[in-house]
Amino acid sequence: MIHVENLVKRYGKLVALDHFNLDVKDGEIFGLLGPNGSGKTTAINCILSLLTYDKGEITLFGKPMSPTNYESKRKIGVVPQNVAVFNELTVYENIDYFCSLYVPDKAKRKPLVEEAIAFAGLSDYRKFLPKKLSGGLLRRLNIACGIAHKPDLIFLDEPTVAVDPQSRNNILEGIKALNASGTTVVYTSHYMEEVEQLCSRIMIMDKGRAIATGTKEELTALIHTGEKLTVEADGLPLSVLEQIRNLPDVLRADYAEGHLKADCKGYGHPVIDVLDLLRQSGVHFGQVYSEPPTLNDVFLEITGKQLRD
Amino acid sequence: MKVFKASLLILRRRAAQVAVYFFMFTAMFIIIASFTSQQVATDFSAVRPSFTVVNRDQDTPLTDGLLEFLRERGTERVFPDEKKALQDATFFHATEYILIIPEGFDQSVWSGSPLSLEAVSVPGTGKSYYLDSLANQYWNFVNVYHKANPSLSRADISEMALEALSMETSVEMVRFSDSRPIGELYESYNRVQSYILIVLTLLCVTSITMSFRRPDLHMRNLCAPITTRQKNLGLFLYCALVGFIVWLLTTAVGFFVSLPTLQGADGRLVALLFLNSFLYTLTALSIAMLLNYFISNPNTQNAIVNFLGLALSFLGGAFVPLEFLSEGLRAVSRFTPVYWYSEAVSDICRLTVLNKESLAPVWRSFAMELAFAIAILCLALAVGKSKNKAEKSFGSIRTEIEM
Ligand SMILES: Nc1ncnc2c1ncn2[C@@H]1O[C@H](COP(=O)(O)OP(=O)(O)OP(=O)(O)O)[C@@H](O)[C@H]1O
Ligand SMILES: [Mg+2]
Repeated sequence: MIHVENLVKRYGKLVALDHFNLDVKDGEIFGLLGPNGSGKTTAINCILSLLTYDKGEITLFGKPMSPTNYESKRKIGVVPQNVAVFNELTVYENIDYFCSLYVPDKAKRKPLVEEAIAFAGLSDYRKFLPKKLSGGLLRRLNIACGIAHKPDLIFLDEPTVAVDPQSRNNILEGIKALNASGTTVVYTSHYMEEVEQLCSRIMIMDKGRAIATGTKEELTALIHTGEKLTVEADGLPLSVLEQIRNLPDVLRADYAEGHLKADCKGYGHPVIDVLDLLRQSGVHFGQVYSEPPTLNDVFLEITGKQLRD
Repeated sequence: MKVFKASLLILRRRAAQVAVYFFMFTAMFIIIASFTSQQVATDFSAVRPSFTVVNRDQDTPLTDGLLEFLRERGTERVFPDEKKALQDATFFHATEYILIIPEGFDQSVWSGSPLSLEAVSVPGTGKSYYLDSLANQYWNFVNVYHKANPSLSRADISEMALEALSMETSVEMVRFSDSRPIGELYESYNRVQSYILIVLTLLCVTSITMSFRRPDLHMRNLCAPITTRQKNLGLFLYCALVGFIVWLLTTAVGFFVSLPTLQGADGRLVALLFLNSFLYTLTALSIAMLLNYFISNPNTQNAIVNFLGLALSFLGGAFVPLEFLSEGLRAVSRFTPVYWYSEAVSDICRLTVLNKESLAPVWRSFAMELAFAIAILCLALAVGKSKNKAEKSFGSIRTEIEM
């Protein structure tokens, strides 16, 4: 559905996209995950032909994308990162206007607009002007304006920034429902939990480059870090910590504020070994928990920095 | 069509702002109008000068005729024929004109070699000349009729002279009103109309373009499958409609408020004034097209609209007649469309005959207004082109960094 090859985009000297490649298949929810300034928005804007680019090929629906490819544009919905609605138009009028650009027939449009209002949970606000809406409601209006015409392909650029957790869950559920009805979704975010929860495939971006692509499992399998173990332990002697670090399945271990943290290797399960060691050394321990690796770990390991700095 | 409809919706939300301008302007004008109409009335009575006739000859039908003639046009003040009394009368402006008929005057007229009349006028008022010329006209007619037909009695001659004079003055009256075929009130409205026209047009047009040019909205519109041409067509239709409505409203207000002063005015002149303001609306529209590239928020909008409206209208003599502006300002003024608009207003309001020659300056002003409209529109298109090129990279869109 989307095919991007060797895309290069420069803003003056800054290389915002550096030989960027992307393939999105029909019917998936594709996540673009990356820290601020990694080039997610730039990538989307290039794909939509809103920006000119220096090099590369972009194909949408099997056809080269261009600013005048109205046939493709008709099948696309865009939810931009910044709320882009008319301040002078009410909620209903805004959705109706943007929908009318795709669906000129008024009779056909009306149910679509109503559906979008229901989807975004804006039924009580249809006559409100945007300045009367809270930040979260504005975001929802922004989404409704982008999806009312039932596109086959939707780009959502950080749609949940500044939305309260409950609305966020509603939005994510809504996106899943859209996808279930056959819509392909490209979703950008720097919240990895969101991407993990929502997306069938994920691309991790940094500095304009795709550093890894795959399902969540595929991505976490890419790295050396496996399970992450935390043990509540009082007065852990340095010698014991050293012994733990030397266990074959432990990648690294640290002790701070009464908590022992140990990252395990790939598919190793050193929990028993660690706890045995502690007991033998006479260290008392409390709660023990273990987490699977996250996309943050993937990002951390590949780039050497946190996803959210 | 979508863009057109959305534009109208947006305008509706901003209608209050536009309406405030319009109603304030209208109210101001109505107040001014009621002022000037009062002034016209007092002016008219002041035009009747006071006069005194001192007859040292006997009263004859001829002198009676003169008195009757002067009384129709002035107010008689009677003073005794004493040097002191007459001096005081002129000194205190109790009378503005004293005509002294010397002894034997009647006889001298009858014999064909009239004695000269003695007249005292109060210095500094033009009205005494008016009376002086009236008296001279009367005696001239008397002379002519007597010479032409010596058998006529004094009473007959006096009557004939008065009749002839009334005909002459009635002709003169028509000519007098002819030299101001359009009342002063309507003329001044037309001058000030240039201000409200430009303010309202600029407000209405830039309110819409301001929204559509917001980078994020512009981008969203670009995502949609409508061509730039469709979008521009919508905006163009909107501008045309708004320009027409603004023109129609302001023209109608001026016309109906000034209607009492327009009785008997030549409809063709009024039509020319309509055409003039219409042409100026076109100029205002193209100015709006140009300015929309520089107006991005309501603050700059208000500042620019008010400044431009006032500056242009001032230069065009909407508030202060052009004659009172300094040479330098007048020279600058020539390079503004509003100058030609004002010129056209002045010319049209003074047209007594409509022919090729008298209309030539009016057509020239019209052509200048149109030329300005076209030139500014071309400039606007050029600016638009270069701005669009720069926008290709959306330099103004910075993704906000939020956590
Ligand atoms: N119009 C512009 N002119 C110059 N540089 C730009 C412009 N827009 C973006 N950039 C730069 O390009 C890089 C990529 O920006 P982009 O907006 O694509 O990042 P992003 O991944 O969307 O970030 P965010 O999470 O903040 O939305 C950043 O370094 C940014 O500063
Ligand atoms: Mg972004």
